[in-house]
Formats: sequence, structure tokens, C-alpha cells
Amino acid sequence: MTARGAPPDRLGRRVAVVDDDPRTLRTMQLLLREEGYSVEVFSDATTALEALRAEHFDALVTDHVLPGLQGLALARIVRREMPHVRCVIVSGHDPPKSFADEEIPWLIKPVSFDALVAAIG
Amino acid sequence: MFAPPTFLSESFDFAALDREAAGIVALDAEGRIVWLNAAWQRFASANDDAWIARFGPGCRYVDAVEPRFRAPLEAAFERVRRTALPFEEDENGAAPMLFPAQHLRVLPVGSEGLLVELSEARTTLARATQDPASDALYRSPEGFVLQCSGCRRVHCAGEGWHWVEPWVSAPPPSTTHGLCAACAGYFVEQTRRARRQTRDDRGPR
Repeated sequence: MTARGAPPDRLGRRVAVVDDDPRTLRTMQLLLREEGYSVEVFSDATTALEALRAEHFDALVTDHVLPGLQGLALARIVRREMPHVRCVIVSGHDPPKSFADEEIPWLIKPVSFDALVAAIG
Repeated sequence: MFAPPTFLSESFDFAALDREAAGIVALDAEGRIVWLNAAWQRFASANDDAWIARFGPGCRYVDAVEPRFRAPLEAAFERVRRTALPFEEDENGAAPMLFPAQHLRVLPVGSEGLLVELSEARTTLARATQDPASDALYRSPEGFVLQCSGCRRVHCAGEGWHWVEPWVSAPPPSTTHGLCAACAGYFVEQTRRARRQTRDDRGPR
């Protein structure tokens, strides 16, 4: 399956995906590529942050519960340092109470892929 | 590993399914077994020789179970094919197996195929995990419990995915969510199905 049929404005948009589960990473990478995105995957937030600082990305999709730096902390740093990067959190947990006012979509796993694509843009 | 037939969906990772601890078979549109994993073969060899003759390649799954279970199972299969939604239940004694308490899960594969998964029943494992020390069985070296976000089973190193009943609705601290092989395939399948449906609804351009 290819990215044929994906909206032209989406083709080539770079997305960083962070999750500590390799199968989730492979699944997200496969489906997002079929949607026309260029996808890089990372198994921890620290490595992802280094890549986001070094290269251009359009969006970040991150799990929240990760070894080391948590997904929400990563998203806050990225929004502060790289405001052009759209951040989306995908987690099996509800957001913490302190999260209520933030403008970061928080999607619950198993995520609706339509909702994920809409959040990435 | 048995090679999966080409008509089966490419959404499922059959190499990963082959490594699962649960017994898994794939059925074609007529309900015949066209693929089975290593756990299914181990399960068969732990039972009597006649078992694999009934539940082996080419056998029609529904015909192999006890007569009283055939009609409800056929109805469940038909519902999964029609709705593309999973079916699951605990079953007891559907076949004269070594482990009679099983959890049955049926997932749609491709246009009319099915994936049938038999794992140890949720109730059995719930009893086995009342001991707090069992918590350690499910933790990674980093201290995380990996729970499948689809079926809510938790990963047990070297033993695949277990139902731990108290954790289905209330995961323990430091739970991270991933996907078991069957749920990953189902998620890909459903996403692609929804995408095709959206394109069909839009019509030719």
C-alpha cells in the first residue's frame, strides 16, 4: 500500500513518533507513511528531543509513560523551543489534572487513526 | 512456521503471531484452518494425537468442536465477518483439551478470513495473580508493566500476554501501553478498512 490518495499538502510532512513499545512504533510508522507523512521513530524522549533540535520536523506524536523523560515533559519543551511543531500525546492513561489548560491534543490508546491524523494536520 | 496463504491480509505480522504464547489459527472464508502458530502445535502435541487431526490444517474449525458449541460458534464467526468487530468469551470444555478453561477471541482478517486465538482463561489467571509477588512477573527491568491497549492483557516475559483481571479496568502503577501482535494486526486492518470506506464514499475522482 502506498501514500496514493493522501492529501498533497500532507506529503512529505515530517513526523517524529515516540513510544517505548517497538510494535506500536512499527504500526504507527506503517500507517502514517500510508497517509503520506515522512516518519522517524524513537523509543525514548531524550533521543527524540535531540533529533527535533537538530532537524526539521512538522509534528511530534508521543506516548506519555516513557523511561526517563516523560511524553508530556517532552511536548512542553518542544512547544516552547519549536512552536511550529504540532505536538500530540497518545497514551493509555488519562491526562494529569495539571494538564487541563494546555493546547496539546491528548488521545487515548487505542487511538482513532482519523483523530490522530486530524491532530497532526 | 507454516507459511500464511497469500489471500490472508498483509495487515497481520504472522512471524510475531507465531511467537505468541496463545494458540492462534487463521481460517479461510469457509472456516477451514489455513495457518496455525507454534503454540497451537505445542498445545496439540500436549493433547492426544487425534487433536491435531481435528484442529489441524484443512480442518473446518466449527466441525471440530463439540456439537453443542457449533451453532453459537458459527453465529459468532458470522457476526465477526459481517461487522468486522472482534468477538471474545471464556469457554469451558468446547473440546476435550488438556486445559479446559480457555479464553476465545476471534478477529476479522482480510475480507472474509478469521483469526482465532485461544489463551488461558481470564478467570484462571485472576486467581493465579492474587499473590502480590506476582506483580514482579510482569515488570520489565525498568519497572514498567506493558499492557496491550487493545485487549488489555499484560506482557509476561517469555510467556506472551496474560489476562490479569484486576488490571483490565485498573492498570497498576507504571503501566505503559503497547500492542500485542493480534491487536496490532487488527488495528492496521481496521484503519485500512476505514480508509477504503472513506475513499469509496467519496467515489471516483
